Amino acid sequence: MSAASHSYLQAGRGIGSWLLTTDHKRIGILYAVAIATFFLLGGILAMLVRTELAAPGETIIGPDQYNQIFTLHGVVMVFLVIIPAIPGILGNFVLPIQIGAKDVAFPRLNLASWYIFMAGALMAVCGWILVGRVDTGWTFYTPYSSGASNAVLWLTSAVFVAGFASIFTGLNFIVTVHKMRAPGMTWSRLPLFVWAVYATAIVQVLATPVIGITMVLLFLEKLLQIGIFDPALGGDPVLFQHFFWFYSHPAVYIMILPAMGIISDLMGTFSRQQVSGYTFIALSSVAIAFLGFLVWGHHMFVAGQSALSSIIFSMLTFLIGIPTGIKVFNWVATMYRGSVWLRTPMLYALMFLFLFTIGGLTGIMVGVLAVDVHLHDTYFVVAHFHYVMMGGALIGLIGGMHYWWPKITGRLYNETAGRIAAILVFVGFNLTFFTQFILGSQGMPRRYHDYASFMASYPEAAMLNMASTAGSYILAVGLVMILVYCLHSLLRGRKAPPNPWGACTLEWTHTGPVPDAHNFHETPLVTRGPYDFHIADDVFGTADKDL
Amino acid sequence: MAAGHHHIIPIRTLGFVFGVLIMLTILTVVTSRIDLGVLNVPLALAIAGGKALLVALIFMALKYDNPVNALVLLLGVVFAVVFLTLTLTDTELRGTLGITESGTTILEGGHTEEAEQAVEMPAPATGTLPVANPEETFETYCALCHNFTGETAVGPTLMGLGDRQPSDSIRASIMEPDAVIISGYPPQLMSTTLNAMGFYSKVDDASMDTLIAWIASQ
Amino acid sequence: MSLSPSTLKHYFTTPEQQFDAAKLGMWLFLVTEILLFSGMFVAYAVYRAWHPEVFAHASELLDWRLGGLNTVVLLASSFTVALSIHFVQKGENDKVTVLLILTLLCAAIFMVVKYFEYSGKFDHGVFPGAAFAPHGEGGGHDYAEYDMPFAAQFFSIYFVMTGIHGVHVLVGMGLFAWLVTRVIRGHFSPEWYTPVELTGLYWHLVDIIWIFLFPLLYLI
Repeated sequence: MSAASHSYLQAGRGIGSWLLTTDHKRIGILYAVAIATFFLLGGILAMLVRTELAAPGETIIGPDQYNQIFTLHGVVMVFLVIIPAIPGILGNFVLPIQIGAKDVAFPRLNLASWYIFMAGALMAVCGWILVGRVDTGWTFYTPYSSGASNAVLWLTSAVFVAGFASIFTGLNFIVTVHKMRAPGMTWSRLPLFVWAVYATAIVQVLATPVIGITMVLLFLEKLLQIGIFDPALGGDPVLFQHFFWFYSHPAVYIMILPAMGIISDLMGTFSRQQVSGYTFIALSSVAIAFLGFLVWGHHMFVAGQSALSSIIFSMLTFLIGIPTGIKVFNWVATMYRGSVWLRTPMLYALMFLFLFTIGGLTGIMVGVLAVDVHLHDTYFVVAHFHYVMMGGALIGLIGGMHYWWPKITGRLYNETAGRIAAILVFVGFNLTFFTQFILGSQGMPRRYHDYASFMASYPEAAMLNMASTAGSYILAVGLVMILVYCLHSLLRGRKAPPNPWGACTLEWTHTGPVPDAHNFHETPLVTRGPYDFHIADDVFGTADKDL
Repeated sequence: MAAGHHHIIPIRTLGFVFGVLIMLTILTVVTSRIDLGVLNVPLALAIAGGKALLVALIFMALKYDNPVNALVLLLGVVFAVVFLTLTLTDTELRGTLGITESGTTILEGGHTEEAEQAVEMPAPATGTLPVANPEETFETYCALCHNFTGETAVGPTLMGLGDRQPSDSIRASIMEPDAVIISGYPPQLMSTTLNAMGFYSKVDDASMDTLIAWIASQ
Repeated sequence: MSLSPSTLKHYFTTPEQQFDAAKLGMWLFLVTEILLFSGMFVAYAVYRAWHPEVFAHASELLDWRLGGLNTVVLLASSFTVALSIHFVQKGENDKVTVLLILTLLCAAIFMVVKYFEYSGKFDHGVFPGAAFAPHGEGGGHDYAEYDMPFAAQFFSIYFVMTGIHGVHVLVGMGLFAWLVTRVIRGHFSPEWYTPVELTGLYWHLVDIIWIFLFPLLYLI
C-alpha cells in the first residue's frame, strides 16, 4: 500500500489545515489536544485540593479559595474533560473507520461542535479567572447559586454552550451509524465500541437539552428573579435538583458507556477471542442508556423529595446493576481460556474491571435509602464517583488512547514505560480514593476545607487524609510519565506497523499504518464480525509479539 | 431520481388537514369556555395532542416516511413524559407517606424546608389555649394579620386554605413560619409576633388540632 | 443522475443516502427541541398542580382571542410550508417562492401580535420575575387584583415559554428569508430540495409547540 503518501497527517500543512479541517480524524486530534490541556488544569486543581487536605487546619489555601478551586475542578473535569473526552477524541477518530465510512454524516457540523465546545470551555475557565471565582460546586444548587455572585451567570452560560457541542456530536454519531455503514456492516457486526458510542449518543441527544433549559432558567432566576427555583421567591429548590439531575445522572452514562465500549474491544483483542456475549454487551449498553434516565432522583434522597419517589428511584437504581453486571461477567468470560496478552492497553482494561466494579458496587450501596442517609455528602460518595468517573471513564480513555495511539500517530510508545506508569496510576489511584471510602463511612463530610473538628470523633482521619494526598501524588507522577513517553513517541517513537495488536476491526485491517485522508482506498466490503479472530488469523496473520 | 422515492402529498390531503386543524382550534376554544370541571384540562390536552399528531403525520410526512424518524420522535416524547411523571411523583406526593408516630412527627408539606424543619419542631408545652374554642384563639393570635375574606392583609388570606393545603402543611406553616415565605411577605414577622404573644409556649397538641381543623373548615 | 457532483458530498454513496441522513439528523435535532421545551412544561405542570386556582385566575389576564389568532396564523403558515414542499417536489418554483413569502408573512404577523400582547402586559406592570407589580385597569381587568402569591410564577413561566418560542419563530423567519433567495436563484429542484424540507420540519415543530402552549396558557 502506498498509504504513507496519502496519510491524513500529511493531507495538508500549517495550522489552518487543522483549524479548518472537516476530517473526523483531525477533529478527534483537536479534541485530544484541548481535552488534555483541560485535564492538566483540572488535575492541578485536584492537587491543590488534596494538598490542602493533607493535614488538618489550613495548609496552603483558605476556605474561600478552597471552595472556588473544587468548584472549578468539578466543572472542568465533568463538562470539559470526561463528558466530551471519549466521544470527542476516540469516537471521532475511530467510529467512522470502524463502520467503514469515509467520514461522519455531517463533517462541518462536527468541526462546529469543536468550536462550540471550545467557546464554552473558554467561557468557563476565563470567566472563572477574570469575572469571578464561583464557589457553588459544579452542581449549582439553588438557592446558593441564585444568591451567589453574578459570576455564576458566566459558568451557567458556558455549560449551556458546551452542551450544544455534546448534542451535535451525539446527533452526528447516531446518523453516521444509521446511514453510513459500509456494505456488509450489519448491526450485529458493529464493533462494541460503536455500540457503546451509539448508546451514548442517544443519551447526549435526549438529556443534554434539559441541562440547557435548566441553565437558562437558573440564568433568568438570577437575572429577573423568576421564582421557579429560589425558595425566597416562592420557588422550589428541589425542583432545580430534578432538572439538574435529569441531565446530570444520564450524563454519568455519557461518561462511562463509551469507556465500556473501549474495554469490550480491548478484551476481545488482547484475549484473542470472540467477545463473550456480544449481543448482550451491545444491548446492555442501550439498556443502560435508557435505564439511566429513570434514576435521577437517587441524588435527592435526603433533599426532601416525597418518600414514594425516593422508593421508586431507589428500586430503579438497583436495576442498573443488571446490564452492568452482564457486561462485567462477559468481560471476565472473554478472558477465560483466551490467550491473554498483557500489553499496556490490556493492563488498563484490567484496571478498569477492578476499579469500575468497586465504583459500581458502592453505587448500589448509596442507592439504598437508609444507607444513603448516613453516607450522603460524605467522602464515601466522593470516593464512589471517582472510582466510576476516573477509575472507569478516564482509565478507559487512557487504555483506549494506548490502544489506538499507533493508528492515530503512526508511532509506537515505550512499552516498559507504559507498564510502569500503569502500575503507578493503579497504586496511586487506590491509595487516593480507597482511603476516602473509609473516611466517608466514618462520616467525614465532603466539600469541607478543614477536618480538625471531625478528628475529635475519628482521630485516624489525619493519617488517612495524608495517605490519600500521598496517593494523589503517586497518581500524578504516573500521569505525567504517560505524557512524557507519549511526547517522546511522537518525536522519536518507532514507526508502527498497520496492525500491531493483530486486531480484527476495520481500522486495523483495512488501513495503512495511519489512515488515509478519506480512510479507505475503496469502500470495504465487510464479510465477518469484529472479533472473528479464528478467521482473521489466517487472513492477516497474528500480531507481532516482539514489538 | 430522488423525486421518484419521495411521496408527494396531494394538495387535497394538505387542505383537508389544515381544515381539521382550524376546526379543532375552534373546538378547544369553545370547550374551554364551558365549565367541565376536572375534564377541562385533559380535554384541552387531548385536542392539542390530536392536532400535534396530525401535523406530525401529514405535514411532517411521518406517515409516508422511514419509520426510524417516527421512532426518534416517539423517543423524545416518551422521555419528556418520563421527566414530567417522575418529577410530579415527587412534587405532588410530598407528604403522603409521612411517618407519624407519637413523639415523632415527620411532615412533608408542599416544600422541602418544611420537611427538614418539621423534624426539629419544638416539643409542645403544656397548653393554656382553649381547646374547645379555636375561634377565640384565632381572634387573639391570628386575626391581626389574616382573614377568611379573600383580602390580603399583613399576611396572605386564609380563604380556602383547607382546600389548598393538607393539615400537616398548615401545622408546619404555623409552627415554623419562616421555613417558607411567600414572595412579598416579610420573613420572621409571624414567628416574632407569635413568640412575643407567647403562642408557642401555650399551644399543645389538642388545641393545635382543633385550631387547624377550624381554619381548614373556614 | 441529474444531481450535480457538487451537491452530492464525497462521503455519501447515493443522493438518497445523503437526503435520509440529513432528515434523520433534523429529526434528532427536533427531539432535542422537544426536550428543551419539556423542562418548561414540567415547571408549568408542577406550579399549576401546586396552585391551580392561581394559575386559572392569572390565565384570564391573557387574551384568548389574540392567542387564538396566533394559533390560526401559525397553522396557516404550516399549511403554506407543506404546500411549498409539494410544489418544490413538482419543480414549480414560482409557487414555492410565493408560498415561502406567505409563510414569512404569517410568522411576521405572529410576532407583531406577540409584540402587542407583551407591551400590553408591560404597560400594566406584568413583568417576569421580581419586577412583577400589576397595576391599572384595561381590557375589563383590574390588574391589581392579580397581584397574588404565585401569579408571578405563572407570568414568569408564560414569558419564558412564549419568549423562547418567539426566538424560534425569529430564527424560522431568518431561515425562510434565506430559502426565498435560494429558490429565486434556482438552487432547488425536485432532485435536491433538502433545505426546504428540513426548514419545513423545523417550522412544523415550532407550530406543534404553540399548539400546546395556546390551551395551557390562554385557555385552561
